[in-house]
Order: sequence, then C-alpha cells, then structure tokens
Amino acid sequence: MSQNIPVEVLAAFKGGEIKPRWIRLETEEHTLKTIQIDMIYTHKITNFAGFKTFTFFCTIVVNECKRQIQLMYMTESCKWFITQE
Amino acid sequence: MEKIIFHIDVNSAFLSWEAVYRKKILKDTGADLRDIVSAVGGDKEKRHGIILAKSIPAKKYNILTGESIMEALQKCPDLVIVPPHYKLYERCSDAFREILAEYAPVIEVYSIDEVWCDMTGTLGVHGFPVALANQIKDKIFNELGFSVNIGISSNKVLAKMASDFKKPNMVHTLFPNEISTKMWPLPVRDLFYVGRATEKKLKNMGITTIGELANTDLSILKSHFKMHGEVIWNYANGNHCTEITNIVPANKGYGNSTTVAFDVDNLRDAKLVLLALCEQVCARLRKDNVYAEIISIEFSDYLFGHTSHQKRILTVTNTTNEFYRHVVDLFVECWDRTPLRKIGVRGSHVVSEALQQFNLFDGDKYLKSHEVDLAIDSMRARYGRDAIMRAAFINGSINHMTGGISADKNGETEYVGGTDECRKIFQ
Repeated sequence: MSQNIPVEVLAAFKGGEIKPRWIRLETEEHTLKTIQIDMIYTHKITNFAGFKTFTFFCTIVVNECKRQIQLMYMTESCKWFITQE
Repeated sequence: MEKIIFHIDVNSAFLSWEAVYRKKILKDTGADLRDIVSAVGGDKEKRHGIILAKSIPAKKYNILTGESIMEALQKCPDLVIVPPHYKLYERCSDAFREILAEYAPVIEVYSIDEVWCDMTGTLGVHGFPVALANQIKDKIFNELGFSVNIGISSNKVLAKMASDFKKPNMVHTLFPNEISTKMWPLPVRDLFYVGRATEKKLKNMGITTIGELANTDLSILKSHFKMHGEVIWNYANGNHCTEITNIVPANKGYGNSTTVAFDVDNLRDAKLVLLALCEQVCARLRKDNVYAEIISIEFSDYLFGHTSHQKRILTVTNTTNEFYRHVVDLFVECWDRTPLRKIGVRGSHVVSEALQQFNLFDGDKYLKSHEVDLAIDSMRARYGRDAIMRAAFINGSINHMTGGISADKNGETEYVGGTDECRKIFQ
C-alpha cells in the first residue's frame, strides 16, 4: 500500500529553488485547514525509475505541537505528496 | 587499438522497474518484489497470461519467462503476479540510456533493457574498463534504483555472453584469452543465437557445451545447419566483427498481431479484428511515410495450429481501406472456420516512394481514401487514438486499433491516497 498522501501546496519558486510555504489538508471534520511550513531542514533530488522528484524534510505546527513531515514534489506531473521514507 | 565493448543488461528488467517504482516513488509498504517470489505477468482474462519477467527468488522454483501464468502458479502457488506498465518501462529505459550517454560515445540499443556501448579510446578519459564499468553500474543503482550486469570484451557477442554470467549487479570480462576458461564450459544453450531447436539438434550430434561446439569441424555444422552453423561456430570461438552503430536500421516490415479475448468463430468478428489490425499497421506505415508491397496474414487456432498466407499487390499502398480489402481476400482464401485465438497482419517490402497505378474508374477513390486517412491520423495524433473510430466498433468488444501495446498496459499506476490518509497528520 502506498504511503503517499496527495496534498495541496503553496510554494515559492525563486532563482531555481523551490520552497514549500503552506500545505492545505482536510481535517476529520471535513474542513480544509491551511498549515504553514515551519522550517525546511534539508531537501534532496532523486531520479528513481526516471521520475525526477524533490523531497523536502520540514516541520509544521499542528495543535501547538511540532511535527516533522516529508513533502515530495514530482516535477513532471507537478504533484505534491506527504510521504515517508 | 583493441576494441573495448560494454554490454549492459538490466537484471530482471520489468520486475526491477516495477519494484523501484513501488518502493521509491509510491513508497509502498509491502515487500520488495525483487526479494520475494514474484513475476510480472499479463492478464489471464484477456488470454495474455504469460510471465514477462520474474524475480531471482522465482528462478529457484524454475518459473520461466514466456510460460503461462497457470503453469507458473502450479510450480509456486504463492507467486505474486503484478500487471505490466509499459510506459514506466520506457521511462526507466530512457533514464538508463541517458546515464550511459554520459560515458559512451556510441550506444547501440539492442532491446528495451540491453545496450552495447563502444568504449574504445576512452581509457584516457574514464580510466580502466573494469573500474569504469563498476562506476557506471553503481551510478545506475544509486540514481535510478535498479541493478545492471555489465559484460566487457572486444566484440559484441563476447560482451553479451559476459553480461549473462553471474547476476545480479556484477561486472564480468570475457576477452578472447578467457574464452576457453569462462565460456567453453557453459552449456551450448547459453550461447547467443542458440535456441531450443538448435540445442536439440546439437545434443543429437553429441554437442552439449560451447567448447564442444567451438571445436567441432565447421563443415559438419554447415552440413546440418547451413549458414546458421557457421554463425554459431564463429560465436562459440568468439569471432564477431560487427561495428556498434547508433543508426537505427529502417523497418523492413510493419506488422501487428493480437490474441483475442474470445475464440473468433465467425467471419464478422474476424473481419473486425482484421480491420482493427489494419488501422494500426497502416497508421504506422503512414507515420513513416512508406508503402507496403507484400501483404500477409497469420493466425493461430484454438488448438495452436498456425497458418499464414501472403500476396504481392499490383501497386504499393498504405491506405487502410485498400490494405484491409487485400487482407480480407487473403483471410477468406485460407480460413476453414476453425475458431481462432490469435490473428496478425503484416505489410512488407516497404518502399518510400509510391508509384500507384490507378484503376481507370477508381483513381479518385484511392486519393480520397488516402486524404481521409491522413486527416484521421492527424486527429488521433492531436486528441488521442480514440478520438475517432469506425462505426462498426461502437459498443463492441473489439478495440478499434488493435496490436502493439494496448491502452490498459500503457497506463501508469495511479497514486493512491486521499482525504482519509490526510487526517493522519492531525492525529
């Protein structure tokens, strides 16, 4: 079973760099919640199976609690996912 | 300067590519397909149920590429079978060739997962061949996630033989001075160009190893196998002098065939299948701007009996209607109403310039048909091949363009996940 969760992302594309700023997810009450990316620690670019992807290791604050997440951006399809290694 | 040829072969290609996609892109939580008894197989319901690739653990159960899924499941009931995704394989193949292009001045593509590279004269740039091969192998594994075997030698055949030695993720050399120790002890079936039938004939002659073949008198082999005898004798002795070229030779013929999901037992269904195949073959002919002079058909009945029939037409063609008319004539001439499971159509003796002798009264008809075909081709190129189809195929079970890779095999696996999983983040 896939661990990828499709997610809406607001990102800044500047000077050849991508920086995800906000993500938007659906809560258990079926309302959309927008969360700011607290910090991007690092990122890596991979080309597994010929799919060029950017993976960002970042933190968000949910319910006053910091959580570490990984965001994956697939360049060809322009899709964002929350993922896990 | 001695030639240095690399042969690069992806280990269990389709299966490795499926495994990498699932683990690295989909982040699948299940077991790695390469580590379990698994295979890539066709759709049993559509009678395309054969094993296309298998994992290394599956080899222990003697599961063979090309055998039916039923046979494979009898050997190992726990075999995990995944469907193929040809678009993914093309993508992986392109990515793998892109890495090779960084090192090799000339690349010859042998198949979707095998290439030859001419590395002659690159010693000063990239270093010793074995070190370079290891570097390429590791780069492919680290960047793309799948493993390859690399064979190094002074010609194409020996390089290919070397890459078939121990797998996976290995580099082997097979230079002419190593033939007697590394290649000659192998069974004759392992030799390039020796298939099941040749192996049987050679065994009847008492030849079981490549070494025995290499040391057999050439005239004896020629008397049994004609030219093929000389070819395999040369390969067994490591003789091969074809240059590596990146020029793709022009197609000699354009053919498509299909295994139908049901037995075709009436002329109407048979004609629809033939028309669908003609649509595909003629579209390919027109795309390359060539015309066929010889039209042939072939079919296999439900008992696997094979029939083929061909004819040379008066004027060359790539017009679907005309091509189809000839195909139906051929089919009606040789079909005895035995239910069919596989039907194929082929146009050969292709020429790039058409000198058409029109019938005195029908000249306009051919020109108009050709123009309609070109218009349909451009619509399909722009909006997809299902944008326009003949009315005969509407609501039918036969696809209007059959042959090649069907749309369902072409699709990439959808990314799974959704709002339910999204909620995990808030827990």
